[in-house]
Amino acid sequence: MDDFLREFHMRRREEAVVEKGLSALWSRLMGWLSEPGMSKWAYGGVVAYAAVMIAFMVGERSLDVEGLNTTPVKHQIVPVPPAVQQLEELDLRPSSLGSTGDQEF
Amino acid sequence: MRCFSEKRPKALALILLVGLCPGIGISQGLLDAGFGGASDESAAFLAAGGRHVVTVAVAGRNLGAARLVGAGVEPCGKMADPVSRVVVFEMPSTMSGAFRLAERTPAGGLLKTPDGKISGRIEARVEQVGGKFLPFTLIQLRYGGVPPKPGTPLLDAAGAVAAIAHEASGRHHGGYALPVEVVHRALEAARLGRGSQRAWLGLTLKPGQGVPQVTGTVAGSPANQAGVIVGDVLTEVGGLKVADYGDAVNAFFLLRPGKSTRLKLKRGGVEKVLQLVPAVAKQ
Repeated sequence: MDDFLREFHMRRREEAVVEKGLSALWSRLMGWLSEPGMSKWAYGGVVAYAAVMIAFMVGERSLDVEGLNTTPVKHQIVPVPPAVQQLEELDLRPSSLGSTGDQEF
Repeated sequence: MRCFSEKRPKALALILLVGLCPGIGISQGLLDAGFGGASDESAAFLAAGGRHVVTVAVAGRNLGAARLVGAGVEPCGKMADPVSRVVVFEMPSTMSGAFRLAERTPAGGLLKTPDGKISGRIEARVEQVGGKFLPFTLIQLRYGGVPPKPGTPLLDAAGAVAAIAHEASGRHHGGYALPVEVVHRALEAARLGRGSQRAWLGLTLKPGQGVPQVTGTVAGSPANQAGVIVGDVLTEVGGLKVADYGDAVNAFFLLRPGKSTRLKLKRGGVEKVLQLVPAVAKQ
């Protein structure tokens, strides 16, 4: 009986300590938040952003894309024919330029 | 291009002087032409009639600076065609040693330089070089050795000028040449004092098309007035058969302004013959 009582009281004290610690932590956090100043909001924003990004990345990784069926698309690369030039005067140099499009005669 | 009469006495005196001075003047109807540079000479030759010397300025030469070199006689006129780059000098009087001109360049065969040292075989007619349509058809030859200097007359088996040597083609001993039809055109323009006027019909074609199909006509133009309409496919222009765009371009180039011309075409499978007179193209 003595042992039981001793153990009971010891547990109660430990629980009281934990409750006291949590409530103290909560009260400290509440107190900090109630303090004037913008820095805490900045910290809070960063924490919130980090939490959202972590959740997003974890969620993304969990997507199963292996089962998606892909349908191959038929395609053919058709080379565009170069515009044919009409030389205005006889010029056999490779750099000579003419005119393209409809030619009037 | 007209020689002024007041220049004639002076020119005649020069000719007399040339005749008295051996080594000066036109020898065997051949001479040289320069274009203002140090080493940009072309050959030149005295054409039929003995009044005109013909040369050609290859690409890069200053056409406006064309002059005869070592002729001993100053020409009294000059006509330079900016399209073919053929230059015709009018001499002050008739000179001997002129070359006879063939009516047409043959489809094949051997052409020789006047001294007979270089001969070239006609291999093809060229409408395009480097993917570009030329303003008229060139002749492609394969020479037995180094191609002759641009402007050198190339004679057929009958000894008439059938073409003028142009640039080397890049192939081994290959070269281009101007067909004699282009020389006839330039000489006629020089004789008539017409300069480098070009014929104009007022119709349009598209270079990429396989057949020479009319894509448009200019309102009031010779083609429009003669009844040419969009969709007509040309088959003959000025007596020359045309099968494709390049043929048509060549035929148009050889037309003379003011000279009545026959046009054959197909419209919906039916052949039509039209007669029209080309106007002078705006420069």
